[in-house]
Amino acid sequence: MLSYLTKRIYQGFFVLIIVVTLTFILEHFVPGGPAVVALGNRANPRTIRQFNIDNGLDKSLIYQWWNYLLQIARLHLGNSITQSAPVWYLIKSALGHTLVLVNVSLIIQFFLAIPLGIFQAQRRNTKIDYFATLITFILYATPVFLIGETLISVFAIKLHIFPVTVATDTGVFSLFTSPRQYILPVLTLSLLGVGGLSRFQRSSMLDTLTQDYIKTARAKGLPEKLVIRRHALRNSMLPIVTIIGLSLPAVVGGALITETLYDIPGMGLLTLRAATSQDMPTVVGTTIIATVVTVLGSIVADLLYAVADPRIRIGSKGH
Amino acid sequence: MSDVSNNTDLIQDKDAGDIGDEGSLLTLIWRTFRENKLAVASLFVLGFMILFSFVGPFLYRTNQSDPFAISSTLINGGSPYNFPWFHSFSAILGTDPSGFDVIGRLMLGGRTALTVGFLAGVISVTVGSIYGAVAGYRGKMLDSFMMRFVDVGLSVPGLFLIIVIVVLFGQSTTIIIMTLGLTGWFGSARLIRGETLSLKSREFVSAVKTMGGSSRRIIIRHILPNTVGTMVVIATFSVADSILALAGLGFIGLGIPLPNTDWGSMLNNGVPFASQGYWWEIAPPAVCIVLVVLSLNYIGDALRDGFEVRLQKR
Repeated sequence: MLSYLTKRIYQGFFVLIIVVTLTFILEHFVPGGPAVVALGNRANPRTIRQFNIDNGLDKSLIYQWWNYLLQIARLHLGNSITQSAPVWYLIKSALGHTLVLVNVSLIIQFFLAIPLGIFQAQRRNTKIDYFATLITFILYATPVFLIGETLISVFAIKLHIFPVTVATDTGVFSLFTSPRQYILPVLTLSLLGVGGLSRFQRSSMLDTLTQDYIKTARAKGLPEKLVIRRHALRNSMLPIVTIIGLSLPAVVGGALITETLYDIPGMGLLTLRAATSQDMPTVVGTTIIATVVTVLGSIVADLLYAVADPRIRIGSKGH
Repeated sequence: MSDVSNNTDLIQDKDAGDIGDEGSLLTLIWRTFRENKLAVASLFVLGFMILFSFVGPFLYRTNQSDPFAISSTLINGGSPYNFPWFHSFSAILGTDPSGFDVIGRLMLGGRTALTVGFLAGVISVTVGSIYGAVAGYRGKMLDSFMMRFVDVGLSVPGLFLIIVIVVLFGQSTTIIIMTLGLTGWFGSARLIRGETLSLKSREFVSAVKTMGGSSRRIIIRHILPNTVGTMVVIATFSVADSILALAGLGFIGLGIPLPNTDWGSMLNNGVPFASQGYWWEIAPPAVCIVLVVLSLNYIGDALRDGFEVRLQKR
């Protein structure tokens, strides 16, 4: 278990170095180089020259790269061009909103997708199964902003049940203190994954139902409900746990769009506002931090899998 | 294509008996494909959307370059967003906030969405296949080194990466195509690598090796043609993903720049008006996106059954 954890952390570290190196390379390919990225398109040549000297950009590339890595490791992400604040400061106040939104949505997504998948597997190839399949396929093909727009125009504009946007001056945990305004955003982000996840749960359940231990359970006369609940459910959910880690990048990307739809002051909105105003340091900074968060999240997801599946725990002891 | 299928006929020793008397590989795939009614319907939908976007503008001529020329002749007393079909049969879906005819706009947007999606999909499958085949064939250290990069690519939130590149290098059609293509190939690299691992232990590969064929020749002439089924299936899904990603970019305002447009950008322009109740500003592009992506997914599913490709995901 411990060696597995170290291996995963080591891998995550590698991912981060590669990503930071990638942004380093990208910044050097920008016409004008990192100075233009840090100072903006309108910086005058003298400031750029001074910046290059101050930041060691006249030294060798290896030196610059190492310096860049160290800077990022110390969370020195530069200063925002448009907001006159350090990028890390902006990210720090935005990160909480995104974390809360993503985690709550992930949980809700499970509560929607898993029962649906099991329901479909039990009624395999009936009309209602086909109908649910059609719905999940449509959900799968619908981009997240379209799900959001549909929810907004039905529940916020037509029916006036929920507010269109989230109040901006609220704190990180406003999702728990005033949940009503967060129902649509959370629903939007959870529906994004429900399509794929419930398909997966359905096929995993169908696989499980053909196993010998299910036959045994049925043969000893257990009612179908108990067969599903006691024997099939947990085993069929195991592969789903691996999906969390794999789906995290998509969920974080979905959060970006959800936040812009509902004006939630998280990482996504920060990135997008920075992107539309050509605030390059902020965009690079949020991308790096979003990657860090995603990588950490997938490590946690892998650990969850190890906790859920005893075979992994025992298997890794041997190594 | 015919070259490839000939090659596969020669090489697929095991399946040769199953293919039977009259069937080439393509007819065989078509036979499985047409059993899937949804996929056949999807083929028609996709064909219609392609005709609509590429041939449509020649049949249904609209002004898509000069909104001012249109707004001077606006129906409904100069209101820029007309309710569809009530006021004029010449613009059945109405006009958008700038005065462009929505049907004409859809055609223009469809042309870019389909082209960008197709090109980005092809780039990602090409890069992914070559990368995966090289990693799988060479094996050992190089393989694990190369696949670590794929892990990196799969664990980065792609949308953020795409935004960074578009912001750093400017919002142009070429850059968007390249970015979507070059951030989307990781999954296909993994699948093609898996297939290569099983192919490289087959007899025909050892035969070429014995005859002195170089690794490059084996990968290009023998391994990759045998993965063409997987490639076609991945390409279908990958085009769908690229169209979705482009729509997402357009929606957040980083899509194809004016005077061109794409479906996502149309949505982006329509959203402020949709929230005032002008739902027809966003419904048509939304329907187009969902229809195209849905039909590509169904086609991909049927193709996978046809090629009997086992994909790990989806």
